[in-house]
Amino acid sequence: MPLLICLFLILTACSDNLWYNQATPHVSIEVLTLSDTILTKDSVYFHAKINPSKDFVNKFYWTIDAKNYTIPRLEFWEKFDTSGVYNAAFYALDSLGDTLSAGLTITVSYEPVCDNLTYEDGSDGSTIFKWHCYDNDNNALTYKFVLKDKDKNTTLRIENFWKEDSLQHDDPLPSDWEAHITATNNYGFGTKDSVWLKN
Amino acid sequence: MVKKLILLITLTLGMANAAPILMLPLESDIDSNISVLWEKSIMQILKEAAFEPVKVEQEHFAQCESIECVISAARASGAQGLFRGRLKSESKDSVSIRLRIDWLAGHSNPQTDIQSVVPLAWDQVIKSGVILKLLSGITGKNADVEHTGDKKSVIYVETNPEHAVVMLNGTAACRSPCALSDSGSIAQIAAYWDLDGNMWAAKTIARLGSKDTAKIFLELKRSYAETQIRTNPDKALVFPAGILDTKSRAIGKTPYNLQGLPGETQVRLFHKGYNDTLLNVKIDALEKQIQFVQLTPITVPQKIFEQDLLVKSQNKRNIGLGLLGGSIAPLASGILLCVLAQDDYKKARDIKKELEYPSFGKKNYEAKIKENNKAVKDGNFKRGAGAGLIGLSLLLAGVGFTMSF
Repeated sequence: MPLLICLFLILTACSDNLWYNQATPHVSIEVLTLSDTILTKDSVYFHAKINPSKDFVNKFYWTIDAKNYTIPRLEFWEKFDTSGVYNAAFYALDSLGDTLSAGLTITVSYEPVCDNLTYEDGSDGSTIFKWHCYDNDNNALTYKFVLKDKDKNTTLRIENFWKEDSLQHDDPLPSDWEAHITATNNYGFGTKDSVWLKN
Repeated sequence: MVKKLILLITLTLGMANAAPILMLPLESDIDSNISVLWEKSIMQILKEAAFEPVKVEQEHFAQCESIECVISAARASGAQGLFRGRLKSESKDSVSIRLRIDWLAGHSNPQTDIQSVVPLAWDQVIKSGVILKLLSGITGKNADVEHTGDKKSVIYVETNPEHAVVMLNGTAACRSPCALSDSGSIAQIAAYWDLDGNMWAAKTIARLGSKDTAKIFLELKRSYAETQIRTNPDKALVFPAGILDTKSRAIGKTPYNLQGLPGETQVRLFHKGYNDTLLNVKIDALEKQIQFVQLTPITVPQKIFEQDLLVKSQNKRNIGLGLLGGSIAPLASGILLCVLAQDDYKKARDIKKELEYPSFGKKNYEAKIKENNKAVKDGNFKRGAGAGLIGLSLLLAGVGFTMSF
C-alpha cells in the first residue's frame, strides 16, 4: 500500500504549471499617418509604430493599392504623380500567424487653373470681367471674385458663385482698381490668385 | 484388511516351512499365455530353490508411493524377497524381459537382476540360457551346464557416422567402432548419434548361433525417437520422476509423446482419483513406441483427501503464477501510457512557451490556448490511466506471488 501511494504521488507530480492561464502579453500597431488630400506631385510620409517593439512581430509592411509592391518599412515618403483616391494599409504578423492592420486614404488632386482673364468696358460705364478656369479632373469649380480700390485700400465687391465664366460690374471702376478671381475644386484646392489690373 | 490378514497368516505358515518370496504381478504386453508360462516357470524355479513364492496384488501396498516403501513393507511382513518383472514385446518374435528380486534377508547379494532380449518361442527361451541365469541369481551358485548357446559371442559393431552410442539389448555399451560380447542367442544391437536434439539411429537383431564372432555395420538414418505414453483414463498429468509435491510441474498430459535419447527413463503419472504411477519408459532408437498404462483407482479415503489437497495446492499455485504473468501486460501498458503522457506534457510546455511570447492575442492565440489545455488534459488522463494500470499490475503481482510461493 505505501508503495502504491508513493507511486501515485510521483505520477501525479504537478501538471498545474503546464496550463497557460496568463494575461496576453500584448503587441499593438499604431498608424501615425492620417488620411489626407494632396495635390499631384506632392508626397506623403507614411509612418506606423509597433508597440512595445517591432522585434515582437515576425513581419510588417505597407501596401498602397494601385501600386504593385509592398513596402517592408515602418516609415517612408511616397510621391503621388497621378490623381486618384489611394487606400493605404499597414500590416503586421505576429509569431502565432495572427495579422493586425490599419488603413488610411490619400486623395490626390490636380490644382485648378485660371487663364485668359479679360475685361471689357461697357457703353453704359459697366465693366464685364471674363475668365477661363478649369480642373484637369473635370471637377466642378466654385469661384470667388474680389474687386478692390487700391488707392483707398477698400473692397468694392465680393462674389461667390459657380459655373460662371464672366461677371458684369455696373458701377464705374475707380481709377486704380484690382480684381481677383480664385477657382476652387471640390477637394478644396484652389487656383493661385488671378488678377486683373488696370492696364 | 482381510487380504492383509490372509497374507500375514500365509507368510507365517510359510516361514515355518520355507522362505517366502512375495511376487508382484508381471507387467506384460505380450500374449497372456506366454506371460502365464513365464510366471509359472519362475514360481516353480523358486519352489525348487526352497523358496515359497506368494503372489500378491498391487493393492496390498496401496499405501506406498515408491518401490522403497513396498520393499520396506515386504521386509516388515517377514518376506525373504520381493519379485517383480516386466515382459515387453520387442518384435514379432522377441521379447524384452526384466526380472528382479530384491533380497530382504539371508542372501549374499542384495538384488538379482536379469535383463535381456529373448525369443518369444519358449523352446528358444530355454536354449538362450536366461532361465539358468535366473536360477544362478536365485541360488547364488553358477549353473554349470554345458550349453551350445552358453559361449559368449563377440560382436563387432561399426556405424556410419562413427562415434555413435552402441546399445546392447537396450543398454548403452560403447561408442562405435567397438566390440560387444553377449552370451545369448539373440542380441538386439542399436546405435544412435545425437547432435543438438537431432538424432540419427539404426538397429538390428543379431542371431548369434554358434558363431564366435559377428560383424555388424549400421548405416544411421534420421530418427525421431519417442515413446507415446497412453493411459486409461487419458489426460493423466505426466511429471518427471521424483516426489510429487505442490512445486512439481507437469511436462504434459497423456497421450504424451516422450522424446529423448534411446534407453530407459522414468516418469510419474498423476490422475485425480487414481494412484500415482512411477513408470519406466523405454525409448527405442528408431521406432516410435507406444506404452499403455492402466491406472488403478484410489480406494483409500486418506489418499483421496491427500490428492485433493495436492490438486488444490497446485491449482492455487497455477492461479498465482497466472496472476503473476498476467500482471506484466497492465504493467507494460501502464508504463507506456505514462511515457505517452510525458509527450503530451512536453507539447503543452512547448505551447506555453510560445504563448508567453508577445502576440496580438487573436484567433491563432486563442486556438493555441485551447491546444495547450487539451494537451494537459490528455496527459493527465493518460497518466491517471497508466498509474491505475501500474497499480493493478502491482496488486496482481502481489496476490499472485502470495498464492504461488
